[in-house]
Amino acid sequence: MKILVIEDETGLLETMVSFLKEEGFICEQAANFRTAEDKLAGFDYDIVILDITLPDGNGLNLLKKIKELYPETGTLIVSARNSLDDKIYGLDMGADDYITKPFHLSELHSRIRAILRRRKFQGNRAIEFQEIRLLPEQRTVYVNDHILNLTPKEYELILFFITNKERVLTRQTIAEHLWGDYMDGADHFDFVYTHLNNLRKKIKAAGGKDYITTVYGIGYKLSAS
Amino acid sequence: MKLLQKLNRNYILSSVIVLVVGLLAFYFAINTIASSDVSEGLSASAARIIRQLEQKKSVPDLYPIIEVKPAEKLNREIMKDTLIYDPIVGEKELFKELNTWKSIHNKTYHITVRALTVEKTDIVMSIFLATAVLLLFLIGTLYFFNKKTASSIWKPFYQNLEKLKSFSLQSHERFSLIETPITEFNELNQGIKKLTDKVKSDYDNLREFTENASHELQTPLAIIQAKAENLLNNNGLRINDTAVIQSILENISRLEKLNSTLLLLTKIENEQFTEQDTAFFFKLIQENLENMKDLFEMRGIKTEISFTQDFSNKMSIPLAQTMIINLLKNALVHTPENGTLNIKIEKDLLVFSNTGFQIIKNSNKIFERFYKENSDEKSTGLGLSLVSKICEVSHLMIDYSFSENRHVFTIRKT
Repeated sequence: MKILVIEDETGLLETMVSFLKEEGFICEQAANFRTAEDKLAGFDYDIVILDITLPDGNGLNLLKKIKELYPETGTLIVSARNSLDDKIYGLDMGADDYITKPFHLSELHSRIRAILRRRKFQGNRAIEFQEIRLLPEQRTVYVNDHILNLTPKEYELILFFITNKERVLTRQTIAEHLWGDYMDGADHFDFVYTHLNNLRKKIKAAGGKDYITTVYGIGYKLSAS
Repeated sequence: MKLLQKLNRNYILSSVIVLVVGLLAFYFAINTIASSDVSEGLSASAARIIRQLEQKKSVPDLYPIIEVKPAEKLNREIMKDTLIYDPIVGEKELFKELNTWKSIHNKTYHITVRALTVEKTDIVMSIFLATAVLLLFLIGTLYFFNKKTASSIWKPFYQNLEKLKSFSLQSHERFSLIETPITEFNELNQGIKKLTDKVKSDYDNLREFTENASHELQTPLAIIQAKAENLLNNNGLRINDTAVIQSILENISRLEKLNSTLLLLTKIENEQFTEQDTAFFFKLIQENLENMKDLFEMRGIKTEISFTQDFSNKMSIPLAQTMIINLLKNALVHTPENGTLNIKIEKDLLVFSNTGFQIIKNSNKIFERFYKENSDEKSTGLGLSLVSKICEVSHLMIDYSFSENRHVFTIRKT
């Protein structure tokens, strides 16, 4: 999977690129409009991550260009503004998703995977982790061929963990992924714990192993070892 | 009073004054001219009579025009106005008469010549009538003229006035005024254009600044957050280090929430949510409550909606959404475990009430920015001030009260 990251802040750009490379993507980067145009002309990308505010041009114009020339390419808009205008405008112009700064890298990863699933018709392809098998299209999860009876939030949780396997997920990240705008402050970490515990119980009940380890004081990690 | 009315009124008032003054002047002028003409005529008549007498010709006695009587002695000439009964006309008339005494051929004569003069009241009346007709005619034409031409002259002015009234900083359309052939109007237009351009550019600058400030803040926050998260996955970390990183991440998150809420408040204050729609609150509350269902359940809070008729309001939908989410979040955080949240929806009333122990200490400050009941609270202290700000710009009114061990937030239309 090939990704082009267009972001003018080099600090963020490098962090994003190194993170995505670790996740197994082939990653190209562009720090401005012109470089982005050049890169787009030369290669095909599966996904373009696009910062709207660039020093030498409007990211939305770039989005328009991508939509015209490479309709197959998935687009994820990154913006510092959480202005509703930009969001609606961006999505209207055919962007697949929208994420505001600052974001959690694992959230970014999960959004990219979701776009890929939709774009590349991978919706019916199973996502597997050890004995856990997840079917995104039906939103069902199997452990050793036993179907798990999960709540929508528990399904989101296991998908988030498998997407970001072998990576520490903070309670904050998980809470924001599950509840987004409905949650702020650190008061609600118990909720994450409750959901996670229920999920663990259900996996164990179906004969699965508990791969989720607690990272003390920080969060959790889904790990095969 | 409209300018045209005022102008008309002034025109009419000044014409009345001018005409009254003119009337007096006319009167005196006509009176003087007429009487001096009459006097001249009388003197000439007297002189002719004297000549006739000197030539011993007979003088006809034409009472009351000419009267010649013998007299005892000579007297000084007298000119006076007198009322005399005119047997021909059959009424008393005003005459001007000249009495002259003259000795001719050793006989003394008293010669009186008279001329009928125009009565003062007649003069006044006729002048008054003439001016009144003139005045009416003047007012009539003025009115007609103003109505016809002035309305076409002033039309662009009024059109521009309407444009100015509907001038909005949010509008993306270019503000332009109608050109007129009148210099003053064009100068005014230029002045207004300059002013609105300045206001608009200042406003845009401010908006850009706010957005840039937020952008500038969010980007370093994003970098710090991404780097700190990457650090967490570094296997060589000690427990103490991870605790520090976790604390950094929590505070970044707080800062981010604070920043985005402040930005939202600024945007509402800058009236950037002008798109109005009708928000139906029953559906809005139900949807958001559904999304938060598990959060309430996990805290053991029972939620209940009592509904008689839907509360709807003309406002920005995203703002209505933000308002409801913040009210629900407030209830989620501040309701004690196993408490209840009741939401009452009526035609023009929206009530959120949740269990509580005691009234807020400074209940008048509850909607103020950064007000926190306890300083150790982790909330931003902006949620309810955001709600009250949204109410303010959406023609709603929010009240807080505490009764029967419940915190009650009541929203009404203003």
